[in-house]
Amino acid sequence: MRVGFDPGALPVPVDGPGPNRYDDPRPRTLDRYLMRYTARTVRGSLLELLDHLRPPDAEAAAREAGVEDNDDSADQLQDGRVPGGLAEPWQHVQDFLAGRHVATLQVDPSAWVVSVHDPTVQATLDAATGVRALLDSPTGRQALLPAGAEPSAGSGAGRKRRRPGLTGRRSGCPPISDGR
Amino acid sequence: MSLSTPVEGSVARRPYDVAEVLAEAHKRSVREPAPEQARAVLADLGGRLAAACLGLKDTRTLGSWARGGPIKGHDAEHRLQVLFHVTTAVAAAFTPAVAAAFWRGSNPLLEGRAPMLVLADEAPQDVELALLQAAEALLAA
Repeated sequence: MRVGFDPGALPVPVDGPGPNRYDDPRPRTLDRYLMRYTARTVRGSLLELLDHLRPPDAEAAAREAGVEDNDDSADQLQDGRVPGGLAEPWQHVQDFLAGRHVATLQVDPSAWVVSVHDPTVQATLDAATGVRALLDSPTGRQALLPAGAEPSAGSGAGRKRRRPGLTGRRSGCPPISDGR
Repeated sequence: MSLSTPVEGSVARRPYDVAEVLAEAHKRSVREPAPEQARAVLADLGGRLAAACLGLKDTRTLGSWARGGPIKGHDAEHRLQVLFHVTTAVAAAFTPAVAAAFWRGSNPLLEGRAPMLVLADEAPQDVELALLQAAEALLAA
C-alpha cells in the first residue's frame, strides 16, 4: 500500500543522498537507483507519512505554554485568519493529506526480489568497497554501537558489530510489520 | 499497477515543486526586512508559538520587532530569519497549520527533538541546515 499524491509513480530524483534508510547514497553516479517505500497496510503507510508531523513534544508544549501573551499585534495582523498555532488539533493532518491518494502496488512475480535480511546479501554488502569503507570509518563504527554507547579505545575491525536498523534476524524473510 | 513497469520519465506529481518552494522561501528570507519577517511569523504561527520558537519569554518582544523595534543580538535576528524561512516554505506547500505542527512535534531527523526547541536553544548557525533538511523531508514526503 502507498499513500501519496501519485502513489504509483517513481520518486523525483534529487541531487543529494536521501534521508531514508534504503535511499541511494550515491546521487551523482550513473547507476543510481530510486527507492519507493510501501507498507503492508494503509495504517502503516500513514504512520510513515505522518512521522514528520508527530504529536506535540511535551517539552515544546510546556515551553510554548510558558510564553507570556502580552501583546495584541498578532490579532491585528491576522486579517481574520486563524494562525497555524491556534488551528484545531486535527487541521494539520487534514491539510497534509489533502490531495493524496491510496494505491495498492504489486510486484511482478518474475521480478528479482532482494531481501536485506538475507545472510548472503548481507555478506555481499559487507564486502563491497563502499560499504566496507563506511563500516570501518569512525562514523560507521559509532552508528553500529548500541544506542547511547560510547566507542571504547581500541574498538576496531575485530569487534562484533551491530547492523543499524536491522533486527538481527538471519532468515531470508523480512519481519512482518505495519511499517515499510 | 506493476512496480516492474514504470512509465519512463514518470515521477510523482505533487501540487508544488519542493526545490522551487525552498528557493522562493530562501529568497524572501534574505530579501525581506526583519519587521516583515516578524509580522509574517506572527500571522502564520501566532504570537505564542512564534515567540517560543525564537526563545522569547513573551510575545511583546516579537510584537516590537514587527513594529520595527530593535532586535538585540545577531543570533536573535538570525533565528528569526530561520523561523521565517522554514515557516514560509512549509506554509506555502501546505498551510500554516502544518507549519505549526512541524515546529511543535518531535522530529525523527532531529534525534526526536522538536524543531521549536532546537531553534530556541541552539546557536542558529549551528542548526539552520538541520532544520532546513527536516523541512525539506516534510515537503518531499
